[in-house]
Amino acid sequence: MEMNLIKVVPEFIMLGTAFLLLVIELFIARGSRKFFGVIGILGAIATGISLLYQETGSALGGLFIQDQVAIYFKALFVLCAVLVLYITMMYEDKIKHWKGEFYSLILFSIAGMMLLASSSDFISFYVSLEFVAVCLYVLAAFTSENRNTIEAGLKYLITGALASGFLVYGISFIYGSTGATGFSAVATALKTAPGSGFLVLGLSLAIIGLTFKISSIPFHVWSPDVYQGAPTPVTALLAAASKGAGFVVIMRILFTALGGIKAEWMVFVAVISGATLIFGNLAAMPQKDLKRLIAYAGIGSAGYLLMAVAAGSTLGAGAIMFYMLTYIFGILGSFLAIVIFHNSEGSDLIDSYAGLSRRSPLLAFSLFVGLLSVAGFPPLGGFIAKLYIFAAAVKEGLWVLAVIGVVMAIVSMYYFLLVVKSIYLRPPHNTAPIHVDFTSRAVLYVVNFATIFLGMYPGPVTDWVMDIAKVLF
Amino acid sequence: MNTPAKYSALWPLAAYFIMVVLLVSSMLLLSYLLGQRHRERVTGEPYESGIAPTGSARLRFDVKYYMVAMLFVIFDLEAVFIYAWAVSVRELGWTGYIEVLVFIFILIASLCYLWRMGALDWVTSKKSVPKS
Repeated sequence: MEMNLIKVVPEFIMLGTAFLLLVIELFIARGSRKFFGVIGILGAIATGISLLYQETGSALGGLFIQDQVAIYFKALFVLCAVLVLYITMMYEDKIKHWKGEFYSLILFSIAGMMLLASSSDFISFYVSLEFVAVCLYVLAAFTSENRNTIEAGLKYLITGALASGFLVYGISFIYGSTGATGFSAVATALKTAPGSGFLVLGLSLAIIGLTFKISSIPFHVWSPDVYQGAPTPVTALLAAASKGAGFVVIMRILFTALGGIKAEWMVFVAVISGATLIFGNLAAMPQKDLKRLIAYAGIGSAGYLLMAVAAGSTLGAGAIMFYMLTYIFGILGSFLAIVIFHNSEGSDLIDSYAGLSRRSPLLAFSLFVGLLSVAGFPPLGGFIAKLYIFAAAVKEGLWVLAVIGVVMAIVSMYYFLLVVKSIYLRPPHNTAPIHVDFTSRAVLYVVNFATIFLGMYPGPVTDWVMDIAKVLF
Repeated sequence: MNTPAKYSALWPLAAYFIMVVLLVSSMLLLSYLLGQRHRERVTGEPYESGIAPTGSARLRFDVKYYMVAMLFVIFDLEAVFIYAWAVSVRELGWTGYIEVLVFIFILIASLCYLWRMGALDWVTSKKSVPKS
């Protein structure tokens, strides 16, 4: 039983920052908590620096694994933490009570996701998953004066509890038929004994439970209402970080633990992926509210990522890792623009964005770049990511799925271009310019640059992720 | 696994189970057959040391009882984890000590939180709840 606490230092820094904010909140008078965001961002940067010095290996008696994939995803979560905390600072005036706790809960959930990325055992995986989920249940219902927010929180809690039930039931069958809870121990057990019917049952239940985290069919129903009703920083956290956390554990469970029975889950995942792609993209078309549209587009994105999971190859795993990077920049840049726009106009309706390019060219450009990158428009990061996903699917012979994916990519261009049309071509309802302060400008420039750069010159990053994706197999 | 020897070790348990069922059912059956039956005015009333009960049992308890009970259960269970560390303190060494320090620090932080939020006050005064 080697504890190796040094490997858990990044998580400790994140948790320590969260506790610090929680305790500071208790001893200071009411008022603005913007500096909490600054402390949180500094804590996240310290976490990021400590990640640079991490070496690979396992810790906490085999419950925790620190490999290249875990470090990569933790770096993504730290990036999400920085951007989401910044979005929260912009949003803070709308939160009436317990502002400080909002910041610390965001940090707690990010710490949970970091633990999730490193879990190498069904027990630590489930505990970290619930750690994240409990923080997000509270956050989704945080501004409880608003009826829509209460509805969002309740729907998230109930579907989350149901999905957890599926997941634990599935894990119990996997444990029952292999006799192990560690991911690598399960893989070893599968080498000697072939999978039974109970193993397939457990596998299917576990995948169904995990679809809640990534908002794909059959547990996608919560996502439009929660994305629309929850406070916007929470929506951003759910859209970017929570989805990444879901995919890193799906990769660990399916590729590392159950890679030996790929034939059993490949078709299952492919069917879920196809259904999710078609549903998410078609349902996004008639949406009037931008956050709701992004929710349906997020369901569609889960379909693309599941396509790469169904491919089950190093190329697929690398494609997921690159897709998450571009997705985080695209979606969080858009959400920052949405929050700034909402502060000025008090509306999230696509119609109210009419003529935004004449009122704030930077906000218009950020939404243009962010949303088209998520849609997969050619010179932007999202395009390269989707290209790798299609390549992975075709290479494994998933032709039908790849064709559905390409058709649905065209559909997603349609509804995202409707937003762009509203922003650039329609006359504004109100011509007053929207003020964007200096820091927000800087953040938006950096995020837009990253999205464009990843599309123009993806080579170094894609080579790197394809290389580190090998450790999963 | 499925050897008869494995199961034959279980016979005292099975015999005990059968005896329990027989004893309880015979007691219930005998008292049903031999006992007297009364149907008086106060037969159905609950027996409270001979005092006639008043009022309804469906009272509304203050939510603070549940609050305190919940906090007690949480901290009680967390104390159990410290016992688990204490019995194997020598094997775990300094690493275990650091982990327990972190754990106790988290407990202190949460106790601090409860105290400042006013969750431990029996009488809530409005000003003790800092709403930022």
